[in-house]
Amino acid sequence: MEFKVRHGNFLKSSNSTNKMMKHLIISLIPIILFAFYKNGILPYIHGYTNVYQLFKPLIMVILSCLTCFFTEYCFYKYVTKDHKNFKDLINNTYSIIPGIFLSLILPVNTSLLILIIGSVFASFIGKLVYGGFGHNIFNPALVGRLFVIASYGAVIMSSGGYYNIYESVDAVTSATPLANLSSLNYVGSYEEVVYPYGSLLDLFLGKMPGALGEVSKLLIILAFIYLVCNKVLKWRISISYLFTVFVMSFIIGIINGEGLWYPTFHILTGGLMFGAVFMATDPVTSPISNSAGVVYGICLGILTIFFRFLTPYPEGVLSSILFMNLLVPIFNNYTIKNHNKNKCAPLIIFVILAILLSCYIGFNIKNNDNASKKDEYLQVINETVMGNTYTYDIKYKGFTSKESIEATVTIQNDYIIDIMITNTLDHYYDSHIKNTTYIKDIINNQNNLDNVDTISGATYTSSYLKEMTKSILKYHGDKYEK
Amino acid sequence: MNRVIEIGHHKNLTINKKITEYIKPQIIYIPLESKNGVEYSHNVKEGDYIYKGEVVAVNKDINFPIHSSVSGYVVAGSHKIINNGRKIRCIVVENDFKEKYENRAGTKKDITKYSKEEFINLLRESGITGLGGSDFPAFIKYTSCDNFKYFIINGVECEPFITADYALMREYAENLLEGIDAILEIMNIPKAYIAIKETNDVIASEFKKYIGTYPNISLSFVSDGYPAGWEKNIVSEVLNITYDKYPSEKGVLVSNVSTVYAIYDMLKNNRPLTERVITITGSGIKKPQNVRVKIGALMSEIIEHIDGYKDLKNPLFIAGGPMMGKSLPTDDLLVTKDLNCVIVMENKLSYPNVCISCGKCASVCPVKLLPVLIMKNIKDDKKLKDLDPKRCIECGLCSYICPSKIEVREFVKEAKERV
Amino acid sequence: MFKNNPIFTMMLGLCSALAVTTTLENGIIMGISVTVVLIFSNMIISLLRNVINDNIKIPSYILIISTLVTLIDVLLKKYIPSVSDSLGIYIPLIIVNCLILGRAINFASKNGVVKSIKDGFVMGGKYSLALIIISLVREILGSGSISIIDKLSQILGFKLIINLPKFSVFPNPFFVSSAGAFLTLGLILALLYKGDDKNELN
Repeated sequence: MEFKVRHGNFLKSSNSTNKMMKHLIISLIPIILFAFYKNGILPYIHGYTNVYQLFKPLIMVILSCLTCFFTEYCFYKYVTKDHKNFKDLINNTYSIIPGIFLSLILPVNTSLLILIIGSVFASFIGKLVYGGFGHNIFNPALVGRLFVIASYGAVIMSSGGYYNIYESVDAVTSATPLANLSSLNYVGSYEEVVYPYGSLLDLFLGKMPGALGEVSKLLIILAFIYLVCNKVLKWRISISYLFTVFVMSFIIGIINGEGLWYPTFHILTGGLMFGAVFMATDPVTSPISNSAGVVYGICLGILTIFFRFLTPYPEGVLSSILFMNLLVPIFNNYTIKNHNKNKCAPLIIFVILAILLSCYIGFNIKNNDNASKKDEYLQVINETVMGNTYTYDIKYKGFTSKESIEATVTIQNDYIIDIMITNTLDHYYDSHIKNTTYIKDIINNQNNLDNVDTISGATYTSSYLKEMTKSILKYHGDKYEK
Repeated sequence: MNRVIEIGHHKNLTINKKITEYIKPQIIYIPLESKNGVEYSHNVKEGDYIYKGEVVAVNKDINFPIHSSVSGYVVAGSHKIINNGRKIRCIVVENDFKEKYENRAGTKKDITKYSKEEFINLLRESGITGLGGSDFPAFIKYTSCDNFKYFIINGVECEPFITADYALMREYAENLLEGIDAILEIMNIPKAYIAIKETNDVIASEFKKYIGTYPNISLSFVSDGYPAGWEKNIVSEVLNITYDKYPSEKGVLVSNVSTVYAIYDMLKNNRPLTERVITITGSGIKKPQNVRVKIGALMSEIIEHIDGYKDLKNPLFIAGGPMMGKSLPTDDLLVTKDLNCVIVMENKLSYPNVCISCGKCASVCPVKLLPVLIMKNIKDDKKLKDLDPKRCIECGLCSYICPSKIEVREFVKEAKERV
Repeated sequence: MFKNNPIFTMMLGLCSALAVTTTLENGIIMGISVTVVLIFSNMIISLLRNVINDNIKIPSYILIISTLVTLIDVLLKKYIPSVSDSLGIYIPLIIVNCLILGRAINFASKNGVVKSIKDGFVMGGKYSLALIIISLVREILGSGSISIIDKLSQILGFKLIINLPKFSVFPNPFFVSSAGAFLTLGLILALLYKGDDKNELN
């Protein structure tokens, strides 16, 4: 009796790529529904929007999926003449996956035309020109987002940016949390950094402004656990990425005197969690072996911190993932040469690099902080010049607030001859300093103010007065340098 | 070494069946080559009458004979397929159903009373090879080390569908223990371990009935998975010893259960190896069972005897297990000493998708290869040398676990030839 | 016109090409400059081809080309300074443009004067055409206008700018940046080589 011959083995496991992608889409459904609730239903209920805005998040997701699907269909039919029917496009080339991800990392105020152009770009240049599914080098959703932000960033920001209509009503600032952080020179107190957006719990649950899918960290963590249990993701990359960012920002915070809330804030803002769970672990564009994945996550963390702290751009996740995608062949080649031998060397190198970089950044920020803050405390309101005499009306930071000391300083021939405190909210001045010779002592010792002792009982106010004197002398000297 | 992977045992069709016998084939074909390349030069010609157990051909290099398993007349020479797909020469003997031996040999009462030289000579003359699938002459293995310290009997049978060793252990536990004890005495090995899966309660209870009288033999349980029956895995789990190429480097002797049973038979009855137990199973067989058959019988005849095939649309004929076996174009397969299973199942065609570099094949490989990188660099000889595909044991786990259903193992096999 | 095109098939001189093609006018002027330099350098090198020793031919060619380029640079700075400002450093970089040096070594040093001049004219023309195409695409998509005479208005006295209607998505600042230049070049190359199974363009 005759039989057919088949090469290979005859028992196959039950997992398949289709199932993995289905699990991925199922894990994204709660995030999409939350985006619908937060950006569509909530403003509608409070009466701020119309029906179109109510369904806009869902329309965005569906439209970008359809655009990607249609782009691939046209490409396969007209360009390569390798006709694929609809079932192929969904099941074999997974054309709608970049569409879903792209719509989830854009803000809700993106107009639909921009979204369509971005989806076409992401599908065509992010995936198809490299040979389709499985051959792409970069994550296609991130390529699309890069194009959209580079081309139409100003247009999106002008139509509301990351705030939907309901949030911008009682928002304190119109900047995203990371932009706010960078304007404060990267460290600040809890009130300055976190408080304008709620508390850390709000950041975790998703009551803050941001892109469609990036806000709710709780749902992202649940999706991560679901995907790890079904063996879909390369979880080592995510864990090492988040851990590296946490440790590095912890070191930066410790050097500048901030507590544990600071690294938690860094993990919970921006697209970090969404990028770490969904974008960095894309199987086609990440390294193959497990230990290379750990080092990959550490490198991603280092790059993200670098982009966040040392460059003017506030958000670093997109650029760092795209950059490391380019370097994946190096990881694979290193694994080929060394997968039997001891692999600890690159791990140790990158951990040391991470610690050194974070120490450098921390001390850099501390120096900048100390140097610039004192000059920021001085506000010169008015300046009158009469011959050689310069009279400044100034405000300076005091014990109570940032401008609680108001004074008039007269300088003649680069020498302070009079300081008159016109108004102050620090009541310790009235009680302890006003009726003493403290001001006269300052004027007499204006070039070596460290010899003047502060007055006990009004320590802060008296030291702020000394700082004020130094500051106005420096201001005058810089301005009228001979 | 990676942990074993659970892939399900699929043994329900034959696990509870008793061993049946089909020892009356019409014609047997005695193979003159083995799958390892060992060639035998025959010393009979057409028209000779040969007895059962008579030496028909000998390998001159190692002086290793092959015997006829029936008595009858030599009819012709022919070419038939063996289980690795190659066609080999064979001698056709027509069975006269008399089962006549050349001379009578009595059964020995006390089988421990052989000396070591006698034993090795007997191993050589009886033509015993590794019945677990290696087909390696046993007398060479048993002399590869002067003093073995441990003897391990491999009864794990991790590959799905196969139940030949299981049935043997269930029905002949007492005889097996007697044989192991004899080997320990003769070869002067201090301790023996029987390795079985920890989920095999029936076998464990069978052994425990008799094992009390043998203080040097103990049961050892191995984790249930694939490839738990691989030599390196067993030696590592039972004795915690790792070796480089052969277990005899560290003084460990490993043998399959069927081989040990054949040695017992040889010691007791002084007869060469002429029969073995195989499993015939699958959804394409009407009555799946474990059968004792003659070496040299033709599979088509055996299957016809057990009521033949079920009607399948696209059947596959697989010699060996589903992970490491080979699919053959015809059922004219010779039963050789290393064949242990035949499966007839439906061909579930699935078209492979593109590789998504998920890395699962690299994480399950027992020898820690990187099959996905071998597949991507198949044309680059320098990288293939670094990837070292020669360590592959062809277990098939990489093809099993691939989500895109790519036949990864075939790429690794191709790389082995290129390097 | 697309066979043996310096930019699209021989891929020479890409650096300057990608950097200056932000507007159509810049592209035209760059093309004219390169053509002039090419004609004259081919002529001079062809005249001197039997005199220059083989061992020092490359430094001497570079000397000739840099003299010509410096001449053009000085002329531009004096008479049309706005153009010189907008092209910036890319006029002096014509010296190391592989196109000119390549044609000098491959053609001008082996052929007669008339042929060399004609070759310079043809190659320069193809280069200019390529520049015009790229800068048309980049300017239309990137700034939504076509400026034919903008900086030259200093000597000509009038401006000729065609402004296209603007939508919310239409002028796309991405294409004015350098990343957009690479993208445009890539897409144009893809379109050109689309049916080219027999490598005709090369």
